[in-house]
Order: sequence, then C-alpha cells, then structure tokens
Amino acid sequence: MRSLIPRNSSAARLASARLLVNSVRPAVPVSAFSTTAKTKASYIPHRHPNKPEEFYKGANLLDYSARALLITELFRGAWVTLEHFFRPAFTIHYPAEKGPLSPRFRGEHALRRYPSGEERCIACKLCEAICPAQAITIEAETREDGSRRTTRYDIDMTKCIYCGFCQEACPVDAIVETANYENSTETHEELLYNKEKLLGNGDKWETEIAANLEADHPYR
Amino acid sequence: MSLYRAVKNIIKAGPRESFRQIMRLDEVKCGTLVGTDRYGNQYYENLKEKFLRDRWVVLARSDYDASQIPAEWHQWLHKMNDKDPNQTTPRPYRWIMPKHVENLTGTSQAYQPYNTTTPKVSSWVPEVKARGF
Repeated sequence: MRSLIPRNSSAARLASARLLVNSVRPAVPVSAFSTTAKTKASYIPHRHPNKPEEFYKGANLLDYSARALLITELFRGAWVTLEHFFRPAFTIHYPAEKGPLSPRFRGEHALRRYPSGEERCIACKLCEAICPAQAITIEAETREDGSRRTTRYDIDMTKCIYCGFCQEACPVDAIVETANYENSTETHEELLYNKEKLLGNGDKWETEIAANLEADHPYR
Repeated sequence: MSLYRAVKNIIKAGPRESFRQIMRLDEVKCGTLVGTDRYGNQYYENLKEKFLRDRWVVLARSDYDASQIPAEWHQWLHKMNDKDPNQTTPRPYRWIMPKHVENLTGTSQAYQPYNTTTPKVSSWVPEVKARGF
C-alpha cells in the first residue's frame, strides 16, 4: 500500500496532506500488529519516544484512511489482551506469595527488651505525648528495685494511624512497629493491646525487628 | 494463566504434589526448595517466575494462614533479606519466644485485654448500721 501512489505533482499535494494527517494523529505501521515479535519491536511507538519519524515513515493518506476505516487499532488492542490471556497472571496469590516490604514498614506494634531480658521502656511518655491519635496510655510506678517502669502500656490499635511517630520519639528503641500486618481480629476488644501483649509481640518478632533496625541504621 | 507453564509444572511436580499445591496456591509452581522451617512450611524460589511472584511458601497445615510464618522466614518471604534463615545463627536470647504463635483470633486462645495495674479507686461497700432505738 506504501507505493501505490507515484511521486508526481498530485502526490505532492498528498504528501502535504500526509504531513497534516501525521501531525494530527500518528499512524502506526501494520507491522506493529504483534507486540511480542522482537524483530518488529523497533516499530512500536512507545519504545521510541524520541524517534517519532520511525513510525511515521511510509504512511500516506491512503494508508491512514485504510487504517481508520478498518479500525485496526481495535483489533491490535484486542490482540494484546489475547496475548496476556495466555501468559502467567500478575496477581500475587496472597497467603503463599507476598509482596516485598521495606525495613521501615510500619505494622503491628511491639515493645522490645534488652539482651538481658529487661524491658526497655522507661515510661518517659514521649510516645504518648507525640501520638496524633492519642492511642497510647501509659501509667508508671517505681519498681521494687527502684527503677522507673510502666505498669500500664496500652495501645488502642483501632485508634492508631500507624504514623510511626512513637518509634521515632522513643529514646531507648522500646516501642517499635514490626513488619507484621496479619494482626486483624474478629472483635474490637482484641485490638486493645496491653503491655503484656506488646512485650509478647516483641519476643515473637525480635529476630525481624533487630534485622530491620540494622538494615535502616546507616540512613539515620 | 499459561497453559504451557501449567502443564510443564504439573509434569515436573507429579500428581500428588500438584494436588497439594492446587489446594494451597490455587496453581502449580516449580522452584528450588530454599528451606523448611520448624513447622514444616516449605519455602521456594524461582527467579524465572513473574516479579513479586518468585518467592512463595507452601504452608504445612491444612488450615493454613499467612500468620503461621515465623519471623526469620517472614523477612525472607517479604524480600527484606536474602539470607537463608537456616544458615544464619539465631539470636541467643532466652526471652525470644521459642514457638511461633499464629494469629489466634476466633479461637478460644484469642487475646483478651486485661488491666495491668492495680485499681486506684476502691468501690463503696454498703454496710447496714444498727438502728439507734
């Protein structure tokens, strides 16, 4: 179809019309029908955003009209859909496959311990003060050995907005947000965490918490 | 899905394993077994699979749940870490929970919130005084 019209004076007018058409709507060669064939890949417009003449080349008014009348783009689009029908799906099959998480991911909360087993939290209440949702409640007392510790450390996980300010405020890295997000429950009460639950979370996820803090510490 | 890929994987895995994987993953996948954790969950990797689908776990229990994955394998599965957890030495702290506990919501062992402080207000106990006459 490309060489149907000889280059003479009448073709010159067509050429000017072609320029007009091309400036309005880029015509794609028929060879771009397949999106997979590697030999044809150089004709796919989006792969050559800096070289539009590559896919403008050779399309005259007749070509353009034929494509417009035969609505080839419709079939080219349908072909892409058909190709993807026979390819592996992109969908992550959740319980078995899980998406990547950053070491900074902010999930369920945990209270950490020192290597000796002593709880880190010194009840300074900075997390309680900075919490924008006011989800944290702390009460403190002097322990029998004279150290200041919390007697109550409650987080209402239904108030929490997972902003991570508590772990940023904490001077002893006691309250952290783990990478666990599978903490959904059937009742509201189960999300009203107390100190024992939070310390238990720390004991459960310590391997991961420590690895994540280690991965992130060069950027702090 | 790809028919070619499905047929290839079913032939590779065999009928029994294919059935187990269809029950767990809703499809049949093939990869190298990176390791098995204490609870029998098997962790696989195949970098030729689609991006984000190249690491997966075949959970051991029939009532499987994503929260059954222990912490060290959790970070491998979420691509926080490329190290094989079976090769790395675990932290030697006594207080680390020896057994991974899954999310027990909906069971009788589910977490129940309770007060960790002694009550500061004592309630009034009514006493009947003897009448004066």
